[in-house]
Amino acid sequence: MPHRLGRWMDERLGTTKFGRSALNKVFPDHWSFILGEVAMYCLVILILTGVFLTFFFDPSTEEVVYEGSYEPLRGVHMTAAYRSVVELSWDIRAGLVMRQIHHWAALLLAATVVVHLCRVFFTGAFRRPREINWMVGVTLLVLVVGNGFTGYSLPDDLLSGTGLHIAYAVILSIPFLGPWMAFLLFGGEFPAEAIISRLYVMHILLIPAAIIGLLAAHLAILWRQKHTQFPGPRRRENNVVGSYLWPSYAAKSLGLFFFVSAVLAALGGLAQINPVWLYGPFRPDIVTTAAQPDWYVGWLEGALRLFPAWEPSVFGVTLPNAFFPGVLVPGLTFGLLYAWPFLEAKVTGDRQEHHLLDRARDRPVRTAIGAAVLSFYLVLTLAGGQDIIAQKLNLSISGVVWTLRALLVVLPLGVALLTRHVCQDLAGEERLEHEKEEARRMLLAGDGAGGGHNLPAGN
Amino acid sequence: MLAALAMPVLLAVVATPALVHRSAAEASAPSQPAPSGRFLYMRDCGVCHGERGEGTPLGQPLIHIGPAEVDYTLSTGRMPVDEPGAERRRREPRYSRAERAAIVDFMRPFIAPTPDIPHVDASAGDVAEGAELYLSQCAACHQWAGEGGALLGDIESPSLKASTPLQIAEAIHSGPLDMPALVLTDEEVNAIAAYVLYLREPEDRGGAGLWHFGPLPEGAVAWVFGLGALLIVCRWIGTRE
Repeated sequence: MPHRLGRWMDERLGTTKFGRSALNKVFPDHWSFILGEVAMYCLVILILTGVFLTFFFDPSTEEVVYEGSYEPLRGVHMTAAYRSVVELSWDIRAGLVMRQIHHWAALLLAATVVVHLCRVFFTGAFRRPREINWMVGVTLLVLVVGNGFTGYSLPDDLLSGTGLHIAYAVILSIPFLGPWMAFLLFGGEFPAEAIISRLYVMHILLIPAAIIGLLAAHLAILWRQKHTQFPGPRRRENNVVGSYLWPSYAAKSLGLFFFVSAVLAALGGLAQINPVWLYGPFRPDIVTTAAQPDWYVGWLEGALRLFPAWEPSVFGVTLPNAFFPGVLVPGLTFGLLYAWPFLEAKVTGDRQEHHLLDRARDRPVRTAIGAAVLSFYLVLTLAGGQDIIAQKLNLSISGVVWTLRALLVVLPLGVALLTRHVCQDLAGEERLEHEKEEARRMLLAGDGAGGGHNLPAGN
Repeated sequence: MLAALAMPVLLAVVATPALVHRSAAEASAPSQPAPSGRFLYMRDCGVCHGERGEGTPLGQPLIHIGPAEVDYTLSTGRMPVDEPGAERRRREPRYSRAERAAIVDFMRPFIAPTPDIPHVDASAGDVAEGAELYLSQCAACHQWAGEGGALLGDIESPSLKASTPLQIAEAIHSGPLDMPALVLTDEEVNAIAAYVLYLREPEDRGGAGLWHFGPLPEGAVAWVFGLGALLIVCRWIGTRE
């Protein structure tokens, strides 16, 4: 029966030929190549839990009174959106664990995308012919961060409302276009009534559709261009050494999906995330200390907090302070990420096709730049919680700010120099080992079969 | 209502940070008669603040503050400090309840009559009203979970985890240190006290509370535990033949 069905399909779609080549597709074996796959499975979990959440979330700013089972909010006025999230957390069976798995999956999706990007960067997998897929990947990162932020903003609690307020101010700071863009997006002056339902459409339809479409393109391009591999025995620029998609790679991948689900379920069940009932409903006249965004926006918050109070005027136009950390920093960040393959090719003059990967140590300058950039964003992310650091370490907040400002300049430089040094050391050590090996072989050859007594001692 | 608050459902698997309870120091030694307020004031306060609270170069005048602030400052251990100019932060209080009352009574003739030590009853407070008031009046400095925070101008807003209802009421009425005094009714103060007591051990759902510091520790947990576990899995699956 399956055989006949297969033939029926093949006669109409020609599936056998494609299926055979697909099942025999070879995937190179290296554990770091499955990081992107982990990100994809985080996305699968996000979609599954997200669909559940849409059954109960109410994207409305209509004012209501909470009468649910969480006592400290009973009788409090709030938006229907916030009420539905509190009800999801306290009155709907499995609602809270679904919300928490969804939120942890979002944090880990962004984290795995970043780690996957690091793997691709440090191994030079973005080089010709894979520049297009690099740019698709960077776009996916932008979309993941964007969808994280829209999702974080939906519950209309005190922290998310504060975050939206900051986003509104950042958009306003764009010269000339800012006010129009902010009005277009929010549908009026902050806090506009339309914003929750607009964010909802973006969060569950527009951005996910773009993510799924681009992910399909990402995988199709990978399929077409074949996977890169590390250099090694029998591995050449024009082959791929690894295991077949069916059965070995498929089995591993299925196992990976189960492990990713297990880790996310464990986090969702054991560690509280975003307890919106404690934050309280958003009111534009209220703020709270220790307000931060999720980590993937933390570097932007940090940039806002570290940037000095500076508002220059250019040709009579005042550039608002928030423009530099809020618009210029992310603009430069993603602009440079998009441009990197082309910048590197221009500097090195290397425009060859590459299917064999670099090892990080063999490209000390690229590795040093990458490590320095990571340390820069680490400092910015920490600065996003500068008040908590000051409080926990019992330091003054201005002391922490100035220390972080200094670190922002000094740490990347130090990390770059150190990384380059370590890379060169490692590569030099290998060369030395290699030369010793050569010398030993030559000695063996020169002394003949019986003259092994005066070999240099290996270490 | 307090009975319900006293039995929080502890779903946490990883222990939340221990709360510091300092109420033990409230107990006084019953056998000895309390030393007179005059004796204690002259021994511990008068050197810096003057014999009748008029102030000296070592300590500020006390004639403008009321009994509530004196009691608050003594009961939170912020005074007396060991040397002039030392940081006034929460410590183990030096005096028993009776000794504090004796000092306040001795000071009454030369300090301001108000705000007087208030009467507060947290068990009569409405937690929901308290939550709304707390978030609008207190959270800007003391943080949404009462953990306190570092504020601009290098002001540190203290954690409220160890605050007693009386201290909460005294602080609201008198506005000690950098805090502004708030004009609230007794009912509202009771409600806030009830909510602050609730925040000591909030009815936490969803597992370990992650120190009630919001997204920063959540991100750290995601990177260290979540991504750590996933990398181990990748490494394990990825190197299997």
